[in-house]
Amino acid sequence: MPNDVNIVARLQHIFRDELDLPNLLISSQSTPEQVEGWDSLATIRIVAAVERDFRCQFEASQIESIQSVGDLVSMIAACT
Amino acid sequence: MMRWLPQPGAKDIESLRNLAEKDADVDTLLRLAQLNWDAAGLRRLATSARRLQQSPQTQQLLEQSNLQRIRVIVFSNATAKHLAESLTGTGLRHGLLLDVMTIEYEEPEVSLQRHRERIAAFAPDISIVAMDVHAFALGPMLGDPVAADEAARRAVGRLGNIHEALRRGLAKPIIFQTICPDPEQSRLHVDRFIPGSHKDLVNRANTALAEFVREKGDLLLDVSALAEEVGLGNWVSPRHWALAKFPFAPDMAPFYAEHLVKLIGLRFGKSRRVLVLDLDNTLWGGIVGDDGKENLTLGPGSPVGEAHRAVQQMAKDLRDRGVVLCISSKNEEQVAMDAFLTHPEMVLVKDDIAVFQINWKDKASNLVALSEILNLGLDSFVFLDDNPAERAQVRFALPQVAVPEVSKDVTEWVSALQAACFFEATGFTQEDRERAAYYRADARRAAQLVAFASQEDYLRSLDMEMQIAPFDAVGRKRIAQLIAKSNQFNLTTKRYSEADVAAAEADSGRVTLQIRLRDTFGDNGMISVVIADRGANSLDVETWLMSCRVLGRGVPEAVLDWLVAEARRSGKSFVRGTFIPSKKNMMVADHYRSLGFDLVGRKANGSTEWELSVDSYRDKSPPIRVRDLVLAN
Repeated sequence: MPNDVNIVARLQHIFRDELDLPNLLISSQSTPEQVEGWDSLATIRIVAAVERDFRCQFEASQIESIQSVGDLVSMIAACT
Repeated sequence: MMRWLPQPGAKDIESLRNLAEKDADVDTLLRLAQLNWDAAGLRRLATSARRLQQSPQTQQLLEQSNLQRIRVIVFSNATAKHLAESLTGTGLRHGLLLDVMTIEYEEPEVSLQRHRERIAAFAPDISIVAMDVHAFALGPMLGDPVAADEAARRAVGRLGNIHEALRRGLAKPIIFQTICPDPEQSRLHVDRFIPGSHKDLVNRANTALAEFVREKGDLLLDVSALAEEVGLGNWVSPRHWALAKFPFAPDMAPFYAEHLVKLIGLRFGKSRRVLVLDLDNTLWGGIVGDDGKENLTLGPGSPVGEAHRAVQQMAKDLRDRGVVLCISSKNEEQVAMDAFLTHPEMVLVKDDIAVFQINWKDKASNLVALSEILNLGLDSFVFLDDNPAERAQVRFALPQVAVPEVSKDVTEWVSALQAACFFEATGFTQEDRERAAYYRADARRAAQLVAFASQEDYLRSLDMEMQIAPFDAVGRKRIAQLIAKSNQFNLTTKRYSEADVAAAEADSGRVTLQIRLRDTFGDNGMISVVIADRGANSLDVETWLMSCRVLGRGVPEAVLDWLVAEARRSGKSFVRGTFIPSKKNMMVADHYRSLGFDLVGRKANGSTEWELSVDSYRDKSPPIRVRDLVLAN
């Protein structure tokens, strides 16, 4: 089971790819307000990439309550 | 999905990433845009295009690239913002630079008022009315045909109001779209029988909608057909509708964009009008020059024969729609024409074809000549050829020509090509039937063919590797087969049985070569055979043949480099060769001359003797890596 630091590193890779920000740095505290281009449409793309990468399937209720990278980390930890 | 588009490889993906993140360059952008990208790829293309527009130097390059700038406004009852990048990225594939504005969740008539200034400032060239099934009240009215009719009429009435408002407000062309059923409504088989079922209401609405759009002279994107093609279950994503009101699944965006962009282009003069067809293994199975007309696979009795007939029938049907058909084939003109005109299973006839280009020149040069003869731009051409190397050459040299990727299995071609909708049109009149005939040129001789300056780049991109080995037991059968079958690129047409081949292999006074070629598309296998005698002070080439499939790639040049090196190694001063004319090998009459040999003799029967001095020879070094297994022995 991947540990949290590992998960954030992989998420950073996904965020960089989906937001076209090759030098983006995120932590589990990062929120949409702090990250350029992270709007609700981007969340949909990011979640799709996370589902592919981590082989998870999330529920709509989980997805709509994402308010930080930390939320994504918890969701991933719960499914793997 | 979109199988006619070439898939991006690892190098392309890397290039696109660099383009989006660092420096954009127009040529690379337009070349990459031809590939089958997902939504993320299209997003990167759009970002690169935007970057090009922002820098003054590249702005100019962009202007010179002939991309047509079009401003598109999309009115949607659902979410549409995410589609803008797919549209812009896809536009680059079709010679369009699209600026997209989206207005979501509102009635278009209302938006036109509320956002009047913003829309006026944007100054759209075309409107898309992207309303999906949720915008219409099509909940079931079971068993009530009157209400069902009324519902369809109401739907069209709404569109009429939208049409009025848009025409008054913008006075620009409009594209409407059909709707597909809501997967959350009943889909029972019995619903086909029940007037007022959701299924029935959607059908009535689409029929009425199509009639309305046709009458108004606008364009119609048949979304219902798109959904049918991929399956409603793939087209719609209930989860994405629930989360973010996406009208269809986000990974369908490139597919939706491809079809919508084609219609947009149509409105602004971009259309495909010419289909250029190869002959061998495209319109018939087999290679007529080698196999002979009698041995071609065409017509009933075999799946491949029927499939080739289907390709011909598809072309003929296109001609009836006004598409101009041309033939471009590497063959002896007389041999190919004879098969075309007299093979009993041919569907296409001489009158169907505007121009025949049958010669040994490269396909890109032939397409340029066709463009000049027909006076139609290359961006209106579609080129169909079974050979991936030929397809690559044309894509490299002429990126504006549509070159569909086709499967190795010809039975899959026609349905894939129909899905591509290359020859989308705005309507159909009886005149369209006649139009193709206007282009038929009486002169079937090619216009001046221009050699391609950028041929080197294309050849290098093939990443070719040639293997030269002496005859051996393993290759014997194939060597004998090549010797027996090769008629066209065959200098002396000397025939060897397997026993003769074995004898040549064992004879130390002879040099025997079996040559294999591999390229980025795969292993072409053994494609050339050479047999030379060791003379007193020369190597005398007695047999030199090659498969026509690898013409124009530099194989003879690489073989000659090897022969000269061998002559030097064994202390010979000359390489000599003979050409013996036959009915079929006139294409190599000048083979030795073109390689730099001097003519030293001519006989009454037309055969010629040639000589090359080894001292003054400089290697031709074509872009082929050579694995020399002769020396290894």
